[in-house]
Amino acid sequence: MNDRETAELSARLARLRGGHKPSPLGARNLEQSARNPACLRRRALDIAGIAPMDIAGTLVPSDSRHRQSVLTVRAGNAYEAEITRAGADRILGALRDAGVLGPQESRVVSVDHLPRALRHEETRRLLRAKLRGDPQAPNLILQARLAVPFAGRQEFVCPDILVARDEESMYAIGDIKAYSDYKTDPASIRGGARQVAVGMVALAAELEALGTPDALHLVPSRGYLILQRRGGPQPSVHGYQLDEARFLREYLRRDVSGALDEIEVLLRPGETLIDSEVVRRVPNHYRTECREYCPLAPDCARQAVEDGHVTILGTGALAAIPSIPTIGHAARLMAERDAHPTMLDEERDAARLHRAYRAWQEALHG
Amino acid sequence: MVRVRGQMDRIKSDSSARETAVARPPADSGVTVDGAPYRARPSRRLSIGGSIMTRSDDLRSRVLTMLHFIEVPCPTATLVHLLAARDDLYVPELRLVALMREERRRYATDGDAGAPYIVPALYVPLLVPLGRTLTSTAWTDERRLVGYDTPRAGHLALLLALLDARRDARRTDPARAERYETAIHRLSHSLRDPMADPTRLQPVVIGRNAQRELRAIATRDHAARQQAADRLAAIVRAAGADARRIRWWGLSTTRVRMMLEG
Repeated sequence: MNDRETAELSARLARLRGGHKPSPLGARNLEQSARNPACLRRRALDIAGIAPMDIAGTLVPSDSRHRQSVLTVRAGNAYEAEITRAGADRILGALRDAGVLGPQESRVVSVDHLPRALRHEETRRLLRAKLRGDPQAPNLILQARLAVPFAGRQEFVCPDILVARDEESMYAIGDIKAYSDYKTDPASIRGGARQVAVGMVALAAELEALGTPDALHLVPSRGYLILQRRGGPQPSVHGYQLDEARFLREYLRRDVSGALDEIEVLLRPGETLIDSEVVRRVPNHYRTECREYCPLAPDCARQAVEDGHVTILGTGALAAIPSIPTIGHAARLMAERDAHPTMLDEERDAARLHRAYRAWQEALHG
Repeated sequence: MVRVRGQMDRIKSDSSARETAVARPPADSGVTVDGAPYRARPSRRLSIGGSIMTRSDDLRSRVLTMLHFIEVPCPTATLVHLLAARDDLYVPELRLVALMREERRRYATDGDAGAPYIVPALYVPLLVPLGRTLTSTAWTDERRLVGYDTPRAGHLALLLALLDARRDARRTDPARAERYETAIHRLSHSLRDPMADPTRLQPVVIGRNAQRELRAIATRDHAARQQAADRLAAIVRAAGADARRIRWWGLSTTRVRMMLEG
């Protein structure tokens, strides 16, 4: 994309935001955005640079599920501060115990203690040192600041740790989560692991900006979640093979102009995506899994119920009759009342419904 | 609301009360809390929430004394534990961060008359200040610099100093020795024997492991800091009127950005 195209794209996105500055999305929003790429509503907000959390509050004011609890945020920050303080003693110990670092590998840099304006530059300088194979490069970088291109602009993500042994050629990514390593909701682990994957994509993007082609090969595909042991702020290191970083990268690199054209058609002159009523008009692609992560999900679910969309019956129903959009239409086809399949796919799904209907009737009446 | 009767009135009349740190009164002060004797060991909430205030000058002198006691750049988060252990003084970390800002204003007003000052450590590769790591102007430049190995080396040196202090205090001041033990226990997770009882202090194991690791990294840490100190000295010599500011507070962000981009 050349400068003129970038400027044009920026102007179009600024119009969608009503002239406001783009909100930083961060790893959490970027990974969420990639979970349901077919959802134009979520994609519209993400590419425009509007935090979905801000809009969710106006879409469903009574629903506070999308907001993270203040206590959770505080507990998370306190845990992170506790295990990275005192020369990063606790986290170094945990990484050594897990075999991620060796006993004498203790070079630590905390990028967030540097002046704000230098954090990104310093991260790049440290990455350059590792790329050169400098034996004095740090083993542990806390709060590195990495830029990842998305929708014609740079989004910054700050993985909690970048970790590498002396002989390793590049850093692995890790994230600190205050979740207990005992009986934590798998959805939370999934979200955390996907944020690590976003960090891997961002690291690869930085390395590519430093002149390394296809740098995702260079980034270790094993990422780490630093969870909390039961009974106190003791870190426990969990490694995950995160091959989905490749899919995330493809998603983040996707050209946004097609989606932008679709969105602009829906907007009348002067309308912006800051207005929740306008956002409501943008079609969503609601799935029951959306409730796990997306702050817009309650409103999308309500809309799906109003429209009688098959998705409210669950993923199984949607997979069984993918070409039939609504429950009402499915019922009419099933009973062969006032509806006839028009497309080949619909005919196949209607036949499946008939078979199921007959089986149900036989089970009921013999 | 918890109030320390008697002491509060004195504090209210003190115009410098807002420049405060939180201190615990001595156990035999006769102070009562809601009618009951003040507890010998206050809860964390009480000690952080604020019971008795001390003047900013007092906090400053205590921090300087502590820095001269440990003689390594000290993160504010660690200093909180050290002040609690050595002086039985409970200070919120943000108060120490604010103290650094006050110190810069004090330097602007008093100049060298008020020396030594509490100043931030400087980051070896860029010679910029590290916001939450404290040092003293009484130290050599090399001692005030923080390289990649320094956080760990400083931490190990600090633990060894605490182990020594604990040994001395066990003879003279058992209460202080106990507080030192608490601090050592909290700061030594990576040095303990994982097979031993984690609730018991392992001074011998911690001391041995700390010494072994420190021996392995001290030389390269010292070399990196010495090299950076030479670089800083050259910059300071060429800086003219800005020399002192650069020496104590490091290079400006703008200058470093220009260096990195150039």
